[in-house]
Amino acid sequence: MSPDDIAVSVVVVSVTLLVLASALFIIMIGSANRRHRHRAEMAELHLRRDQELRRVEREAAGYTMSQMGRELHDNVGQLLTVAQLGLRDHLDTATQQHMRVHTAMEALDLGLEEVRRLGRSLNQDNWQRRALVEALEQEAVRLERLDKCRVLLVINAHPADPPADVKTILFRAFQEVISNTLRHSGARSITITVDDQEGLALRISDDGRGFDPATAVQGSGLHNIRHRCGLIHYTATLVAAPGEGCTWTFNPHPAHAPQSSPGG
Amino acid sequence: MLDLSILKLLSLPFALGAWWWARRSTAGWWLPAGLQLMLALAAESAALWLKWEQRPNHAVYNGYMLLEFASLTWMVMSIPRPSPASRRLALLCVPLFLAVYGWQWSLQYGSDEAPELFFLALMVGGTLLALQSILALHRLVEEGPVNPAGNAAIWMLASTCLYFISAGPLLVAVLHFARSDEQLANTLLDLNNLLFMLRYGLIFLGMLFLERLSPRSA
Repeated sequence: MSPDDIAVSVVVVSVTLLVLASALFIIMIGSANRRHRHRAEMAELHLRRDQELRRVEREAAGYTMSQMGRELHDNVGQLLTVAQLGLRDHLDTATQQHMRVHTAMEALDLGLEEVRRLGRSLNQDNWQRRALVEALEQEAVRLERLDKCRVLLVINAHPADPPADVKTILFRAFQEVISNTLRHSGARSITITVDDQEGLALRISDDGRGFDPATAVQGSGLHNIRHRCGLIHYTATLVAAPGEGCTWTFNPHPAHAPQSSPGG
Repeated sequence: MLDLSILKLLSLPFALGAWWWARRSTAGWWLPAGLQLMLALAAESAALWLKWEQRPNHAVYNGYMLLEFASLTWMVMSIPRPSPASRRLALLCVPLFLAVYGWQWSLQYGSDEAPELFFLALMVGGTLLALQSILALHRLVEEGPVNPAGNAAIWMLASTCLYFISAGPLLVAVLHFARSDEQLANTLLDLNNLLFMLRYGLIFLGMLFLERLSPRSA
């Protein structure tokens, strides 16, 4: 080979290497970008699937609760009413005045009232007409009547009323928290605070004995509260410490701030 | 005919000016990139002056080679940002280059002959830098989608990788023909100068993108 041939070959090799290296750069960037796009699409699909699952689960939970509410209100309530009327009709006044019978009748009246109230609170159709703040007020009055502790309702803002299914589930979570407080905390007062955090936000705090969430057994109660809130795109946060009471906060997730219901 | 050596030298102030223009940048590789540009300007000016004086300029290139490898390794290691993986790679490459460089130093300065360009060190260093650039590009594109028209780091990596990959064969041929056919060697050297200008043109572009992307303080 003559020197010129060698030089030409070298130039060809150099140019080829330049082109190949440029192509490598372009291919690496292009394929990585495609991969990232694909990953983003997959993540989007998973997110949609997750949202759809949550929606279906929410609908199923709402439907079940509505059914339970109707059953409680109509069937169980009806049976208790029959029992109440039957006793009132067939027991003479002296028997009714007897202390144990009187206590039993009172318990039956209270049970009937509770069953009807529970039925109404579970029935989503009722939530179409009923605002959540109003339901919280009624619940606070009821808790006061129980005379187990002081209940303070603080309404700092009047946020838009959430949709019926959100209201039902949020109210059930609230009831679960209150029930736990009454059973375990020994609290002398409960404070319920309503705020507006791009949607209705709820805080329930008590001055009870509290507990350490890190060491507490994660029973189905705490799990249920968090799971239910997740279904309606709410974040349930628990702050508790031994001797310092316990505070639950229910905040709407910013990306899923609930739309106001047509009636709300 | 236009001397490409002068044009080659002129490409450096442009790249250096763009680097200074992009000084608001918070990119970790901005400083080593500027350092390399300043070293290149100093070395190329000194080498050109020595060439005009018809004195050998190999010593300038040999010294510059060491500093260039250090600054470019620092720059490539910092793209997209310094990480344990990029540091490990640099820790592998630096001793390898230093070993070859030291070996050539001992060979040439230990003999009675006039020292020449540390050609093998240049080839090994260039290959290692090209390899590091490709791996840095891999790290960069794995982080997230990149748009070459808006990502300065890609142009910096391209300038390093493309130059060292394509200039290697040309420099081998220059070395081969330096004694037997000086005219052919000069022609090949001119082609190398074109690649050099392409390299600093890419750096110029990268710095322009960097300036466009840099947050401006009030």
